[in-house]
Amino acid sequence: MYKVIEIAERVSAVANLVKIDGRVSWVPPDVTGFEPYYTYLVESDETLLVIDPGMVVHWPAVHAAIEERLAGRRLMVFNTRSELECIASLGRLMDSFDNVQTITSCPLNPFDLMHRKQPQRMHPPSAYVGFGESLQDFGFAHLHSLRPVIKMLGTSWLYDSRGKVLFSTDCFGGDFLATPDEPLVRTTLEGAPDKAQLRATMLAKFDWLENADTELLRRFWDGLFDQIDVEVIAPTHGRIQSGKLVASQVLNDYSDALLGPVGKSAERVTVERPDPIN
Amino acid sequence: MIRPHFALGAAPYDANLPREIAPQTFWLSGCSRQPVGEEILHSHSSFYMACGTEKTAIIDTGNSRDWPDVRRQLLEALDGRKLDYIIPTHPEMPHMGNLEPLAELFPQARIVGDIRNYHLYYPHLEDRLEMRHVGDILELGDRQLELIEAIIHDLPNSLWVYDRKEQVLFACDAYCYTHEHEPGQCALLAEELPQEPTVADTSFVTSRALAWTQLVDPEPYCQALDAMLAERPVKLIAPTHGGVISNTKRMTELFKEGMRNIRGQ
Repeated sequence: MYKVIEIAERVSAVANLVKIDGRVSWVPPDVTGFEPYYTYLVESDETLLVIDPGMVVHWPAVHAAIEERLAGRRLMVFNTRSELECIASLGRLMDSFDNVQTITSCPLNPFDLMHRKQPQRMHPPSAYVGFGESLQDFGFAHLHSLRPVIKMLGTSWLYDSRGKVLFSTDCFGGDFLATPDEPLVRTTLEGAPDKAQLRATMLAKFDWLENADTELLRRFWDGLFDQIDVEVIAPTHGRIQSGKLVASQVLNDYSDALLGPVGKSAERVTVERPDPIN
Repeated sequence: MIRPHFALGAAPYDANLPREIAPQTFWLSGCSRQPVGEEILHSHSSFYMACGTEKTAIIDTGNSRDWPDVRRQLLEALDGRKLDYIIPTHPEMPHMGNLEPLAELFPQARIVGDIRNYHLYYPHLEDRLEMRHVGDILELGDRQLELIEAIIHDLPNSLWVYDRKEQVLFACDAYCYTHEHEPGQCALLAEELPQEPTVADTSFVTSRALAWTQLVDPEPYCQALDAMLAERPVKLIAPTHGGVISNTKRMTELFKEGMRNIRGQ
């Protein structure tokens, strides 16, 4: 059974739980419990924006949530990654609605990534938004596409400057639920996972971090987080972190776990990297 | 102003594909055109078929965008046989984007490999998924496919495949290179192209497709690659994002040099 939870002004999460059973590659092998998965919905008066329609196992829930909330408005979809966790249901979504505007900052065109069985459903061409640009043209001037600090494949983070929400996609999802009735949103640091678990979860996906130049990564990290205030961390999976204090401490913990003394530092080199915001 | 996505879509289909690169070993592919800076790159999404006396297997599935031509190439290479195994090297669209229509077209085919996550992506295919690990062997009759560590990869649940009989290394995201080629050249081996791929060609693609290579020390990966190759004779290297390679020793050196050059760019 899915839940829809409000995480910021006009931002909600369609949440589904999966029992952790060792069959998911981004969960470390010693973790037990339940992992929440989210499709985010951002609303304006004219539009319902879906951030990552998600996996087919959750499509009935996501479909129902969209149907329930659409209320005659335009439907748009932003995919943060071209990975199956984010877009496996995209073809089903495009087969279920008309005139869906797909938007991405990824190099792959969403129309190249899906199979459709209802070609009579007509949609406009996919739109591209570069890093540092907002989704103003789509009615969401407060949403900004960010170059991620840590990524595996073509990825963008989204930042909601109104609600100070960082949609961090496959990063910062290392907080799991022990039981299915635990809160989906962490609002206190009590019982928060330790740095070892945060590191293990990140390395389960980003195994290259083991050999990374952490000094260089630190510069990218600081370059981004010095420029944005984060009060809600909203990953694709793992518990949502909410509140200025919680979000700040969790980001510090990830920084320590990945870039601090635990990490290794390779030879320092100079790599020019564009500003993450502008 | 709303900007349309810059990807230029599929290149024209190449009638020379599928190409038999070794006995009963077929190269199938679709190419895409994508602007990068001032250039328009023409890049492979290749996949492969190995046919044994008893079973047939494909390694990767091609891109979903290319499905009509993927289907044509596949049926031509199968030549009336059925497909027994689908081996997606990892769950990324250019490598397994056609899993659903393939499963529908070949309802008896098993999906084998490191199939973690697939039950969430495609729950209706769960009873057809078979987990395999590094070191496992897939028997096709007179040939064996060995699942080996994907030394250079993006998603961690990746595997490479080594064909012990024909000595082909199916290396998915490694050994990639881009090379602007004309229509009709998509099915040429690296050594058949008018100009041999360069260190810069491999470096360019690897640094963009595997962005992490910009942030790591490449030596552990180069050493692991050498160790793996020391244990396995390789006549052909079959990558996803580049043409098939027959001068494997030379291209291995170019590829490693390309890895080493990335951090200095």
